[in-house]
Amino acid sequence: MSPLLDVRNLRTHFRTSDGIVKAVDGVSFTVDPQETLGLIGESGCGKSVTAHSIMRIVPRPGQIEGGEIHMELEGETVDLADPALSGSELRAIRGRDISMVFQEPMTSLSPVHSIGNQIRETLFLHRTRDRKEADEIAVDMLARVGIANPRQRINEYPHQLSGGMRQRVMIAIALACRPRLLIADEPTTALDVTVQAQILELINDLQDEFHMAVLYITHDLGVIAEVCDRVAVMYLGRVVEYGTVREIFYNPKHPYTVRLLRSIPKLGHTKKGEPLAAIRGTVPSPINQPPLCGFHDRCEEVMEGVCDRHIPALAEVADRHQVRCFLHSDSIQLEDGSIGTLERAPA
Amino acid sequence: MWAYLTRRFLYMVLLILVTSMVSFVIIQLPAGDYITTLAVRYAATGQVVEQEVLDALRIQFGLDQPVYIQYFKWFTNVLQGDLGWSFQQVRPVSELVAERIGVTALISVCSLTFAYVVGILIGVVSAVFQYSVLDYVFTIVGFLGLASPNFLLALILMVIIFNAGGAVGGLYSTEYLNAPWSWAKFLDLLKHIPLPMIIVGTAGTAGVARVMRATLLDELQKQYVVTARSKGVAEIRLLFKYPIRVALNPITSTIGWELPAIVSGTVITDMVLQLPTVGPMLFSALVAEDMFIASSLLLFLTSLTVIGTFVSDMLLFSLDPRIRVN
Ligand SMILES: Nc1ncnc2c1ncn2[C@@H]1O[C@H](COP(=O)(O)OP(=O)(O)OP(=O)(O)O)[C@@H](O)[C@H]1O
Ligand code: SF4
Ligand SMILES: [Mg+2]
Repeated sequence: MSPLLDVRNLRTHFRTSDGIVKAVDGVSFTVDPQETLGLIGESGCGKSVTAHSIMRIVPRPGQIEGGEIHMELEGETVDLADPALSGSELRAIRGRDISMVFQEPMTSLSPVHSIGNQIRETLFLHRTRDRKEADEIAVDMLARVGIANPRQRINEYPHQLSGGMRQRVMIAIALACRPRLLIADEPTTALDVTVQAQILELINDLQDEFHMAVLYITHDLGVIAEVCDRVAVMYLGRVVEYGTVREIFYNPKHPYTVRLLRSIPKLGHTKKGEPLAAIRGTVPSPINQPPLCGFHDRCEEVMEGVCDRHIPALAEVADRHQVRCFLHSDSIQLEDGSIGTLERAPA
Repeated sequence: MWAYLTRRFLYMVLLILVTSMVSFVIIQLPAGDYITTLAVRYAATGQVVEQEVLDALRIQFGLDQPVYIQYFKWFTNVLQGDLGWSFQQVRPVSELVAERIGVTALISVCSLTFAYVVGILIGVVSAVFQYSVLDYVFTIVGFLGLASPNFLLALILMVIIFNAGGAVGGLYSTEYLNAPWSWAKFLDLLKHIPLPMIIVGTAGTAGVARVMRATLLDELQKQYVVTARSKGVAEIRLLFKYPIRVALNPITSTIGWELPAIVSGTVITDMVLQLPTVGPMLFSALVAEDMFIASSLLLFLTSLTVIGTFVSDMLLFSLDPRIRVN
């Protein structure tokens, strides 16, 4: 089966006055139709920038510097990273084939337009020009995302709704045109724990109903375990480990993933007073990064002269399981994106 | 909703009453009264006016009575449409004000419109093309406009327009000055309007542009803009429907406040331009303690302020659903 979305060596940089921020620097992954891919990593590792790149809504001074984003659209494949793609072609895809739900439900809706207006806007752009039909679909969508009295709610404004309700409205807007891919960028982070579970379940149910694929961005491993088929672990602008949820959880290879998994407190497994295995150090800023393993200054298994000289390439270690680490492979990612081989000094 | 409006209305009336009272007292605070001014003026020309004559005049004008009685008398008359007499011109205040109020309103409305339309346009362009050459030019010109006194701008523009052969000063050409209203006189008026409109308007323009730029820059960063973009809304449409629309709210709410400022804040400019507005009239009345005229004009300004604020609130109310509910 060919993938729905195929991101290849995506590089999105911000040319700021302080230097080049390589927010996304060689990210590759695929999303199959109807599957859920989790994108996980610490704050600032480039998850949102990856999502924005796919939507082509990266804010200035950010720019896609290279790579390809192939999207399967009714038999033909479009490269969303292609700078030659026109604005109107992109806008036709946005909101119709791919849509996005954001982290901040409190601010992601316009405060001065009614909910109905904001749902109809997408419908008018991609589905129907008929006001009556649009209203019907809007009411139906609101009902599907679990909003009571949709006929009345449609005339209300976002400030009349709770955070969880607003996120439901956002989901209704995102799914109104039945996209093939939904990008959910930490859709539950800003919500209460009980509401989080409800929203998660809602996305899961609607995914089955609408037969769509989901790219689920989070920094919550629990969420990944619950809803994802496969997972891509990001660190400092790159995918460092990538595989099925099973493989990653039971057979983690990359030192970062290993420590990430160890850092989850397990109920009943932690002795009182024992510190959590938090990861030493903080995520460095991806500003003016020289070519090296991004994790080398926090890695306990770092190999001097190797890890701080080259970028490891993503290499297959098991079936559907790839790792970017010199402990597991000798391939180097070269500047131009091609793969080389490490020459280790004989021990 | 109606309860709210009624309450607002009652507050308005109360506010106007209190301010008119306070301003009536304040006008009389300087030592002496209009009769003193009169005596000094006669003395300057070498004439001496008998004390008895002055006292008789005081009694005639009611100036011998305590302030609160004077106020009460004046205000009850005002309620019946009689604004009192001007001592200086020996004519009813209502007549004097009526002569100037139309022109004042015309210039105010024109310059307000100018200030807001141009200011909002400049603000939008500066924000959307932030840090572009255009943005820098507007910012520099805006600061110059804010920093330089209006009457200076008036003088400079007068010279420029005069040299270009345009009409300068006043609102009518000499031949129409005392002519009855006609089509030709109206056209003549239109020719004279742009100069005061631009001069009085520019100070406001700079302010409006700055507020609009700052608010819009703020709104452009908001998540709901990204949401709209992710739905596939075209950039121009998006700009007008969301951030500009939201950024207009605080701007709109200042329109009402600007009204009295434009009437009273341009006394010097109006004098330089020889405009027959109420500004210069208020100024000379205050200097001469011609109190009924001054009080009437201050009452008028207060009413404008209060009504302006009310208008602003109503505008905001209709624009912003967040306020509508509370
Ligand atoms: N507009 C911008 N200008 C400069 N740098 C930016 C900009 N937006 C993002 N970045 C940088 O890109 C990097 C990745 O940011 P991104 O928002 O993708 O992180 P994230 O993984 O989504 O984190 P979080 O979990 O906090 O949402 C960060 O280092 C950030 O500083
Ligand atoms: S490449 Fe080296 S530094 Fe990077 S994670 Fe592997 S061992 Fe650690
Ligand atoms: Mg993010």
